[in-house]
Amino acid sequence: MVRLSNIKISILSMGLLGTFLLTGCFKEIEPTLPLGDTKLVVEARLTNEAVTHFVKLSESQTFFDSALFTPNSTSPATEALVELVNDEGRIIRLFESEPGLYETQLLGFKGEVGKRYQLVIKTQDGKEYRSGFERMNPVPEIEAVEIEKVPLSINVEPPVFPNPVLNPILNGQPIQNNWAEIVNALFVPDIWEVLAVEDRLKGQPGFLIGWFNAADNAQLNDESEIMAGLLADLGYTQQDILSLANITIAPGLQPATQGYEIKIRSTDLPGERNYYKWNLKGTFAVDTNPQRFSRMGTNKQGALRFVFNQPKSCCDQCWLSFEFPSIHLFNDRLTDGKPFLAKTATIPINGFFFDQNFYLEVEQSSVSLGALKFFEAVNEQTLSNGSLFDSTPTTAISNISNVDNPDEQVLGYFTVSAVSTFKTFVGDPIDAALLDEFTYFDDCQTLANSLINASVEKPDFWPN
Amino acid sequence: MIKRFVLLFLIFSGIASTSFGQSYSEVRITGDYNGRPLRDVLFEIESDTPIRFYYLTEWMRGLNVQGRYEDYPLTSFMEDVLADYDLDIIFYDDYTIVFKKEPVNTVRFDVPDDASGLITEVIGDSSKYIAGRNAKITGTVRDANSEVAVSGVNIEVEDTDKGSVTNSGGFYSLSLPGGIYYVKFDHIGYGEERKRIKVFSSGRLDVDLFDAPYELEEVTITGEAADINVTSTQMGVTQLSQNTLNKMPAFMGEVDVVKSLLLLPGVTSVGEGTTGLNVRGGSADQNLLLLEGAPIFNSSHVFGFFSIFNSDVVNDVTLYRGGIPAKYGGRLSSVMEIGLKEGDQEELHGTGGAGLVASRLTLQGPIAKGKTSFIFSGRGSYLNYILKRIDHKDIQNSTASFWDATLKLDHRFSQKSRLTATGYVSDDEFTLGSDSVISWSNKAASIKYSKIFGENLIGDFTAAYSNYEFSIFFDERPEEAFNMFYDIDYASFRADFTTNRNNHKIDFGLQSIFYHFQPGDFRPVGSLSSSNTIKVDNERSIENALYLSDEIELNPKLSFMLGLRGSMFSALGPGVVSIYDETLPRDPTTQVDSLQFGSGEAIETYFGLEPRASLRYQIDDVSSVKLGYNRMRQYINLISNTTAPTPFDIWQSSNFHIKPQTGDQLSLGYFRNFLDNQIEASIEGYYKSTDFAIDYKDGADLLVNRNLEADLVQGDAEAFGVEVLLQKRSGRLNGWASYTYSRTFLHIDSEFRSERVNLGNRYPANFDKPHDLTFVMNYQISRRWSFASNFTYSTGRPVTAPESRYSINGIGVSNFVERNGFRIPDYHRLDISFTTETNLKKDKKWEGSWTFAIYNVYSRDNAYSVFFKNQDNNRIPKAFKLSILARAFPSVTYNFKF
Repeated sequence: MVRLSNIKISILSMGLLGTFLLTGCFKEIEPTLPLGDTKLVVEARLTNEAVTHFVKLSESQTFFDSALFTPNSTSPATEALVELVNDEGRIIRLFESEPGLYETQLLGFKGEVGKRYQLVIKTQDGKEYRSGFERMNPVPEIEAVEIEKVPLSINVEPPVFPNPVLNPILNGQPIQNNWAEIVNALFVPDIWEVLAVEDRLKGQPGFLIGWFNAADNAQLNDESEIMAGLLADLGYTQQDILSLANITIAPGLQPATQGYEIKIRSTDLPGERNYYKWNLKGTFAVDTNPQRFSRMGTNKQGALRFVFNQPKSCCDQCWLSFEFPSIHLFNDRLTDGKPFLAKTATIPINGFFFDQNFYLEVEQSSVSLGALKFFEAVNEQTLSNGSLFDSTPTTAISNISNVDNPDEQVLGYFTVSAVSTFKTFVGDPIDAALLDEFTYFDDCQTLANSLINASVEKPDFWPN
Repeated sequence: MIKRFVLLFLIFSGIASTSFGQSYSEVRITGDYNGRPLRDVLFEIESDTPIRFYYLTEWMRGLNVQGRYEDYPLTSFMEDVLADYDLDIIFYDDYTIVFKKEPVNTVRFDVPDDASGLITEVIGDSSKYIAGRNAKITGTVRDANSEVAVSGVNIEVEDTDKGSVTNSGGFYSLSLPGGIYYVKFDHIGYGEERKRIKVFSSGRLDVDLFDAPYELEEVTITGEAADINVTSTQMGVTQLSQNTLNKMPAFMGEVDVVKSLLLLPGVTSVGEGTTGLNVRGGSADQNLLLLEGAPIFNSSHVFGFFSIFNSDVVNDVTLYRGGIPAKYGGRLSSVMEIGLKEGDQEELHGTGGAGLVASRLTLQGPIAKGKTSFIFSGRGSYLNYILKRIDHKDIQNSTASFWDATLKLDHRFSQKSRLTATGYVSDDEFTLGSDSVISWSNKAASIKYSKIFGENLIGDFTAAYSNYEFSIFFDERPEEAFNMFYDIDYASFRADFTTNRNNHKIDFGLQSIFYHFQPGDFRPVGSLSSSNTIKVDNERSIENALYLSDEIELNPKLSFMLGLRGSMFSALGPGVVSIYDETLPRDPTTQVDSLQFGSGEAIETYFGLEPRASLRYQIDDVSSVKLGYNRMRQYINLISNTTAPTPFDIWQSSNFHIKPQTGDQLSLGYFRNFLDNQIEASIEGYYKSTDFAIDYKDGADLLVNRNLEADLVQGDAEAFGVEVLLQKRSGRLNGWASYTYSRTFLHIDSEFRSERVNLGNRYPANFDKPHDLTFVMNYQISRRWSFASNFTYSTGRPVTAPESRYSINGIGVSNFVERNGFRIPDYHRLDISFTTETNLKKDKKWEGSWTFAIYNVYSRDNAYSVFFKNQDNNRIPKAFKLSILARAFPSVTYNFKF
């Protein structure tokens, strides 16, 4: 989809980069920002599918609060009355299934194309919030999903990856580089050899003073006992140990140079203004190495490190699935009624995603103009590159407001969408054969986080 | 009254006759003067000492010196001698003694010849002399070598507040009562020409100016009489000459006519590498940029890193930012007039230069000697080699180029009439990593006929045409491939008249403009493209204006200028106007109806009066207070949703939905000169308010938008500030220091949430930088070497910072609420340059000069922007500072002249 302002920005950025950024530099800074009040955040979506529809209520965080994505980090607005009202006055109540998360319990309830819906929220403290009436607009079918192998360059959207812990691996940087090397090199270690290393490096911060392969000493499953013995050998007492922590160790993968670009073929509905949003979901299998799981101890000064290898028996294969965290929008302003092939996300081709198959589910949904503008504002935040040709960052304007206090800012959007979906496998065995193997010294289920689901059960659609 | 002026001229003429030796305080008188005429005694003193006396011969009649003096101080001697007579003396300086007598109400023409040997030119006919009636002096100022008319020459009638400036044809006119005057003709690059004139009745005085031998006495900001900042009624006007521009340290050696204005008080921009100027809190589109009468719609090369004017052909740049004369209209904040040089009338000359990014060549010479001349200049860039050096594949595969060309022809029919024709073209083109091409281009042309009618009326008739277009060819992916064109055509005719009647200087005229905008033509390219052909309807409109202004000198202390401009704008059919549901915010889905207009039918007409006024009260010879007011109306606006204007911003004219912006500015200033006008100081304050200022809604898509009005909102803007300037204009060391305090706020509210900006609260403009400090210094080290430097400091511009963060479907969203509520770090930078002349011979066939400049000498890591981004797929919030040009940037430029 052509969004001229984005093209304009990319062109201008290129011009700027090309000509004069040779002397420019980016620096990360941490300025003191004005602190706003905590605000109600509403994530709500109603579709024309007979599924459970959710409304999630939470509260905003300060900008630099990186805890946003850790589970339950945002204080949920609990015990609110949440209802969906349609333009005929029908009311559907949503019930709180876990703190802040409300769901429809009416089996088979779905929105209908052409009807308008309103979200009503009455919070515990007596405030009433209502969205505007959002119309469920029709959506065309997806005719095909086309996959094209493209080189990854600055003109392509940044590679999608949903896990910040693993992101560096996929860019070729191993996590905890030196630890990974050490663990690799000394996987069947001679402990005394390592201690000799320790003697040489003694007193320097951050070095390995002990290596213990728990598998060889199955009877000594008490870490402190093992450690006490080791420490005694080294002249330390157990009180020197402050904490034990899991370490994630994985060598880096060759950075992906190519990606599979996902393009959606469909035909715009003629004679009306249409706005679409695509949601993409991927599922793929990973093989990991839980036998090499290790933990690390640190002493009080933070100067001494101990690594303990503690093999896990489960699980060396599991299936990860995630929603693509990128926003893909379409406005038929320039293409009304015509067939289109719209570029969406690009999946980097590397040994993580494409060790085996990659299963892609694409959902094409209709949205209102307000929702389009909301998501465009969100999207533009990610496009900013500091150029003076960037648009001024703008508020993503919600369609929800406080009935009694219209000046109160509510965050989030109640989207009402008709959806059509398309599912396909992505990948090419010839490409896959050339990829680095993904190595991760832990249970593959620990790759899961609030955005990635991990399951050791093979999905139905997975080939044998 | 008149008599006193004559005397005061004498005082000034004394400056030239000073020499070294005994000063009057050391002179002692010895002699027996028993009844000798005072005049003889004075002659004697003059012959023995460097002391010079100034008086009228008639005053000496019957004045005798009595008595005998022995080693008697001259001061006491003069007191003794004059004790009995009705005469006073002034010790003007160490060597000059001026006699003074209470004036008699008659004019004297029998003043002795000037001691400095100036020949007196007689203007008019003594038989036509009528006491008390002003005579009109007109003439042309030319370059003595080439006989080319020189515009912008400042003409100062010494010790009066009369003066004038030659127009673009070199014409001037002055109105003076009969008498003897000293008149100074002054222009940068020329030696000052001083004339002694005896005026009886109206007549002609043509003046030739000679090249200044070495520009030791070069003036930094000039084109103005020494004390014009105090004595003129006009305020808020500055002129930069080419000589000043050329010596300023320039980024990558490219002298930038437009950016040099940033060094003046009250002029700022959002950041380095951008074109737009913000004058006294006005947005970048509120400046009328005129190239020989034709407006320029985008002055940027390379996205704004350089301006499109080739400094070789630019004669001067004049910026009006307050008390804007009634002659100009159409923009709220300022008028920048770029005057081009005129071709040499006698022989062929060339100038040129080579810098790091571009080279220039200029040729000028006669077509018909003494009658017709041309000047042509071209400039071309070679940026590609820079791109190739950047270690990035996409950039290495990109190309960038720009060029521009200027031609000016000048023809003189007679002493009283002439014709000039100017043509200008500029072009920029970028090919990006893929096959995408973006380009933009300006074209401008004007023809001007100037004529002196009778003795007292100068008329200029100008026809101008201007065009701006850009195109984007995007071909990164065949499914999206498209071509987009944008085009503006502008045609205008104007007639301007100036006449002087007694103590009135009257300007009047009319202007008619026709606009034709093609706001967007979008076409798919190739069979795979899914784009539709979309053409936003063309827009036509006319703007007409009439103006009259009268500068009245009530008395030497008080003068004022009153002006009125009436302007009318009509958006013309054919056209379709969308009508929106009044109860809902405007957007494409709330359109309920449309109105059709036939060809030539007025879709909407706006009319408004624009009063202009300024007043000067002269406190004493060296200080004055001025007050200025102007109302301006602006009918076309640049629509931009980026921080700095881009070449792809579109101009939107007022129409059915968009009302013209109107701005009122009130300014007050105090002006004072020190050390014989060598040092000028001024403080000016202003307050400006704008109605119907335009901003865009959050998330507006501005290109090829048929419902553009639905994405625009209008509100109020308010700006105020104080500008302090201290300036030394002449001498080996010259320059200025200025400090500006300025604030600019916008306020855009609506009953609909989506049509409010900043939740309907007042917010600072993108370019609101309260404190701005500038030092500009030029120093002539030796005949061969000169040094220039400038330093600027300004408060960091405001940016919008997020106040909180939340997540939607796993995507981190920053909540940007308060528009421009946060500031980037303060900015400061020092630039220096050295220029050396390679040939100082008097009879040179080839003059070359090298300019070595360093931009950002101390490698200040200035923040270009601060921005907030969620990284790692929108999960980790981060703030970044981007610095560009963060190191010292040396450059070398070679300029030559033959």
